[in-house]
Amino acid sequence: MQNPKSKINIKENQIVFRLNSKNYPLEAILNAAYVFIDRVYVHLDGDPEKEILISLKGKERLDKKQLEALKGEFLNELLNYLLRIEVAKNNQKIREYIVAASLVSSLPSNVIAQSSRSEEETVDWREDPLEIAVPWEEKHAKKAKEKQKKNK
Amino acid sequence: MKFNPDKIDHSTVGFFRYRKLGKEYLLTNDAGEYAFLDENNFGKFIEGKISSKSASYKELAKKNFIRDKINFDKYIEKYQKKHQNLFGGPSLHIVVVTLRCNYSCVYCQASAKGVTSSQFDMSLGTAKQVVDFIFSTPNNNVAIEFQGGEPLLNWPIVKFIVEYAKEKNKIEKKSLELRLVSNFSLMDKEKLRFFFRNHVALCTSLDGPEAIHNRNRPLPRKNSYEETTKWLKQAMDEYRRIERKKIRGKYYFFQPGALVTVSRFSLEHPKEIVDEYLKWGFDTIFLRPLSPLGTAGKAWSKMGYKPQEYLDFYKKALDYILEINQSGKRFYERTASIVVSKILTDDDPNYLELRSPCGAGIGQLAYDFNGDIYTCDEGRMMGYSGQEMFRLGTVAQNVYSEIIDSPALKSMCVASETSCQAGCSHCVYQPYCGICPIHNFAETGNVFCQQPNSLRCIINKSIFDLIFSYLKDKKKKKILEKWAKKEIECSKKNYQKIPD
Repeated sequence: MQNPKSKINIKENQIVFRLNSKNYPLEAILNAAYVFIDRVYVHLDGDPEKEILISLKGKERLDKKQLEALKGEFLNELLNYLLRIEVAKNNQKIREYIVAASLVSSLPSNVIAQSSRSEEETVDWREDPLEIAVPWEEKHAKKAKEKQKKNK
Repeated sequence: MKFNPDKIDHSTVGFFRYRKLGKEYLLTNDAGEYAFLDENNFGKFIEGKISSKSASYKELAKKNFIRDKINFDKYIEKYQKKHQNLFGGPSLHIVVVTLRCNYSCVYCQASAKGVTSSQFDMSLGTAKQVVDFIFSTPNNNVAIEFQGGEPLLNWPIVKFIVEYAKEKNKIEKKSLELRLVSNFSLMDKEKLRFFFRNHVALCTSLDGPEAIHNRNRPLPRKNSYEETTKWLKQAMDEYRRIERKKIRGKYYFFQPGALVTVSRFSLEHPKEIVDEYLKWGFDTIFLRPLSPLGTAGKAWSKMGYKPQEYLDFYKKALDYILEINQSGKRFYERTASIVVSKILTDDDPNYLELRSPCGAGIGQLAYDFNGDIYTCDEGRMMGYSGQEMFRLGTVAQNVYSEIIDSPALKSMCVASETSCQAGCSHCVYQPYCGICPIHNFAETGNVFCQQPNSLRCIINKSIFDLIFSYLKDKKKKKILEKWAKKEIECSKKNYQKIPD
C-alpha cells in the first residue's frame, strides 16, 4: 500500500489525505481516528464505498514536520487496526463459544432453575395474548371495525 | 512495523489483543493470558511462520494464542473463574448512617453536612429496613460497610445495625462481614471493644505524615492527624494482642486498615507517605488517585493534577516499596497487588472498580441516610450534585427484583462493559481493566466516555504499562507474584463466617 499524498495547511494547523476504502475499511479508519482524539480534531468525509477523506487538525499548534509525522502515526495505527479487525473477525465464532460456555456454566444453580421455570412459563405464548401471530391487516381491520361501530 | 495484515495465517493465529511496549509486543487474550514477542517473532506469528519448536511458539500454544492448539476446557475454565463474581448479585452494601462530618477534607466526595445537622442521620426504622433489604439480596457473601459523613456521629445506629445484622444472620446464615470506614476521631474504648467483639473490620484515612494529613483532612480547632492516629494505634495494639494470644482461633480478624488519597500536596512526598505506613505497622498501602467527584471536582484546579504528575508519584512510591521488599520485608501496594493478581492468577480479586461490567448495582449497592438506594457510593455522591439518575429506588418502597431490573442499573452495566466500548474493546489491557461510568459522567457529562481523553484511562493504561515492564524483571516479578497470591488470599478471607 502506497503512502497517500497529503495536503498540509499550516494556517489551519491541518493535514488532509485520502484513503482508498478497498484497502482501508471504514471500521479500521474509525478505530484509528479514535486513538487520536486527545490530540487532534478529526474530520472524515467521502464515500465509504470508494474513498475516505481524512482531515487531522491539531489541538495544539503543529509545524509541517509534526503534521507529516501525525499522518505517519495515523497510518501505523490504521495498520494495527487492520490486523486487529482481521484477527477478531476470524476468531469470532471461537470467542463466542468460549464466552457462552463459560457464562452458562457459571450461572448460580438458582438462576438456572429460575430461567428454566420461566421457559416453562412461556408455554403461554400459544395463547398469543399480544396477538403477535395475528396478521397486520386482520388486526387493524378488526380495530377499524370497532372504531366504526363506536362512531355510529 | 514488520508485519503485513494481508498475510495473516488464519489457521494458526488465535484471538489476541496487543500493544507495543518498548521494543516488544505485549499480547493478551480473553482469559487474561499474556505473552511478549519481539518484533521479528511477532511478524512470524502473524504469518504462521514461527517455528513450532521455538520457546515463543510453545509459550503461545500453552497460553491459547495458537488457534489450532487451543485447549478449550482450560480456556473456558479460566474465563469462567475470571468472571464468576458477576453472577452472585451485590455483595458490598455501603450504608451511609449520617451525612454529618466533623472533618473538612479538601477533597471530600461525600457531600458531608455540618455536625449539628442531625436531620441527615439515618433513623432506627430506616436502618432496620436497610438491613432487611440487604438480607433480601441473593449473594451469600454480604459485607456491610459503614460510611458517611462520619459514621460514628450516628453511633446508636451503627451499633443497632451491627447487632441486628448479626441477629438476623443467625437465621439467614450468610457469610457476613462488617466494616467501618471512619476518621476515628470519635472513637472511644467502649466503641473499640464493641467493634473487636463483633469482628467489625476497621478502616481509616491516613494521607501520610502529619503535615500532609492535616493539610488534606483538616479538623476544625484540633489536630486531625493526632485524633486519627491515637485510635489507630489502639486498634493496631488490640489487633496485635489478638494475634499474639491466638485468640482468633477459627475466626478471622482483620488488621485495621487505612487508605491514602493522593492530593496535589502529596505529590512531592512518595517516600514519606510510604514510611508513615511502615511506622504504624501496616503491611499494605493503597495509593489512590484523587477522584473528580464532590469537592475535589469543584476545586480540581487547586488540588488536582495531571495524570502524568500522579504517575510520576506512583512510580517513585512503587519503586521504593519494591526496594523495601527486596530487602526482605513484606509490604504491598494495593493497586499493583490487584493488577498483578488479575494478570498472574486464574482468580479475580473482585475489585469493583476494575471489573467489566463494574460493580455498580450488580456488585454493590449504597444506601443513603434516608433509605434511598444508589448504584454505588459514587452514584449517591452524584445525587448530591443534583444528578439523581443513579438512584435506583428506596428501601421503604422497592424490593430487590425492582432494583436489579431498573433501567439505570442496566445502563451502568452497558456503559461499563469494556468489550463494548470504543477504545477498550481492542485494548491490550481489556481483560484486566474496568470503567467507572460515574467517573466518566463527572468528567464529561456522559456515562460513555472518550477513552483517550479520560484521566482514569490514561492512569490505568500507564499503571498497566509499568506493571508489565516490571514483570519482565525477574526480581520484581518474584515479589509481584507474592503480592498477587496475597491479594487473592485476602479476597477469599473477606467472607469468612464471623461468630454469632
